[in-house]
Amino acid sequence: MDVSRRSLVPHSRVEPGKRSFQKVPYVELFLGRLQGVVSSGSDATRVYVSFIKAGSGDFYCSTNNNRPCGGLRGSACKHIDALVTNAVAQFGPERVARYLGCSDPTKIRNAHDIHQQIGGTAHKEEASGVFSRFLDYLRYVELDASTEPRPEMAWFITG
Amino acid sequence: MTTLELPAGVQEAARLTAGLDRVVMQGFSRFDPKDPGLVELGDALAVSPLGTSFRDAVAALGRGELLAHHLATLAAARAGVEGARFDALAQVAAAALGVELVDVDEGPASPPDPAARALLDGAQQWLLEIALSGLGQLELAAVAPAVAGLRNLQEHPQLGRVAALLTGFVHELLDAVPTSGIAEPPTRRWVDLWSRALLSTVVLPGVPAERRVSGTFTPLGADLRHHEHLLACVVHGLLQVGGDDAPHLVRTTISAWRVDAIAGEEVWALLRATAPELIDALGKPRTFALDGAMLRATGDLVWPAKVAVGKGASPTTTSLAGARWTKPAPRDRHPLQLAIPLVGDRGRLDALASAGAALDMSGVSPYAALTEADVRAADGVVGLLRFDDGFFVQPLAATKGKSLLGPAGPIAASAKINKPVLGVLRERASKLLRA
Repeated sequence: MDVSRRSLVPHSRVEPGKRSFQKVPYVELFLGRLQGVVSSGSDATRVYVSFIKAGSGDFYCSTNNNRPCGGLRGSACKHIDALVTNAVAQFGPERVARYLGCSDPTKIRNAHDIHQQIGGTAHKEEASGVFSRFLDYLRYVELDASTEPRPEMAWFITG
Repeated sequence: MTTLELPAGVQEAARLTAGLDRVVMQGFSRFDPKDPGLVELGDALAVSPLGTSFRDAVAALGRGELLAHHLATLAAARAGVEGARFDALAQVAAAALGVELVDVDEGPASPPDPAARALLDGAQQWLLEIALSGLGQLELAAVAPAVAGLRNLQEHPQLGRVAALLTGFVHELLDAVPTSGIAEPPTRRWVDLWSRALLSTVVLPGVPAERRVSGTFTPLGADLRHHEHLLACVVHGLLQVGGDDAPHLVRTTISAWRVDAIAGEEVWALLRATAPELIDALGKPRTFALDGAMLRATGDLVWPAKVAVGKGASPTTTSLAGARWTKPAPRDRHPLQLAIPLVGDRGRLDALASAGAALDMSGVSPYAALTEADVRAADGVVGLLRFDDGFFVQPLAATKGKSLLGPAGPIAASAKINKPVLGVLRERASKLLRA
């Protein structure tokens, strides 16, 4: 198949594996970061916003009220662990590894392999944007369904 | 059966648009008006109504007048060529399947309201910028700003189609940047999407004529299409309208916005929320007695909110001989919009394959749960005759003995989902917003 001559080019996207939405309701690869929202284990109204930067591997984790996570002691906390595990389930290990700039992404099998390669340090960075991205993401499921024709969707077959 | 021979000019026309596609990939900031690909396309268009405006637009871009309306002229020329290819292919396909083609005029377009106009202008500006850089040279910084504009497009009632398209295109590019790193970029696909999007920002789609119809609708099968944020289930079916001599092959579309976490069986639950009887009939085939339903001149049936479920149906043995299939509105014509339903047994699939349309599973959604092995072993199949650099058959459903394969399984399972992802996400959001 000559990809350059086809209108339909299937994404090589993997079907999401089993995720814990209760634990990690939101995970994305966006603006050079693997980032997401992780529920607190002890308080139902608290969440943590966690991220790992592509390339440097620097990471950070803070509450939605911008307080640093107590689990960050030079290495990644359990929230970041949960984030990586759920990212691997959602996007597949190779895509996550490639996005983060791991060497040899095709050899990455699981979250543990990714942790092995992330050499960054805790580095405070603005993260409130992630929480508003999560709310924006939820907005999609509030939009109205439609019975109108959508002919342009002929181009979109997977994803 | 007649062979599905490619009509004269179809492949040559593809070569002409490929010349323009290369330019869009390279970027108009490094534009050479003497680019051989463009010169050839310009020569081919010289005798057409678009000839003069195409030549003028190329000249203007060559002088450094990098304006959206010049690019829109090139996109319109490309769409004209694709429309002509569609017309030629549809003729061959309809003759091979024994269905009657019906032509339709472009309906009048309603003007966008001021808010819609402003949103379309914003989208157009972004489409101009990425064409200047070249779709093959895009960095994250060129694509990311488009995300912010999507929200308002999605919420505007006049802009559903362009919102569906741009949401898919923007997210596909976000996944692909930096695009210079892609070994085999999907050139034709991206320029299809780019040019379609650009033309969508110039004028809203025409509103086709419509009429109220009463009669029997038999769903044949569903073509499920989706990107990260939208599901569109196109149900193809046979409509026998009281008083009409021949039955119509019509489409009815149910679409729902989604997030990528809503996957697997749950996508059917999301669609069922809008049209429960229709979705269930894809699993347990039923006819519908329609009373005053809206049928567009383009062959699109607008699914009514209330329907009367009729008796059991047998999609894979329904005769489509002599049925009418309506072409899309002229501005929507593109080889990818060719999708004529067909019904048959294994022998028919074999005959189609030797005529030039082999079975191709690449357009079948993973949520449809239909495998190539299912189709090869089936007694009866519902499919679509389609075209993408060659004719192919895309299966929609299959029967083996008494069981219906394909989406029937996940549709049945979707009614019994215990803890839908959607519910968990909403619960989390409500706790957080109250905090």
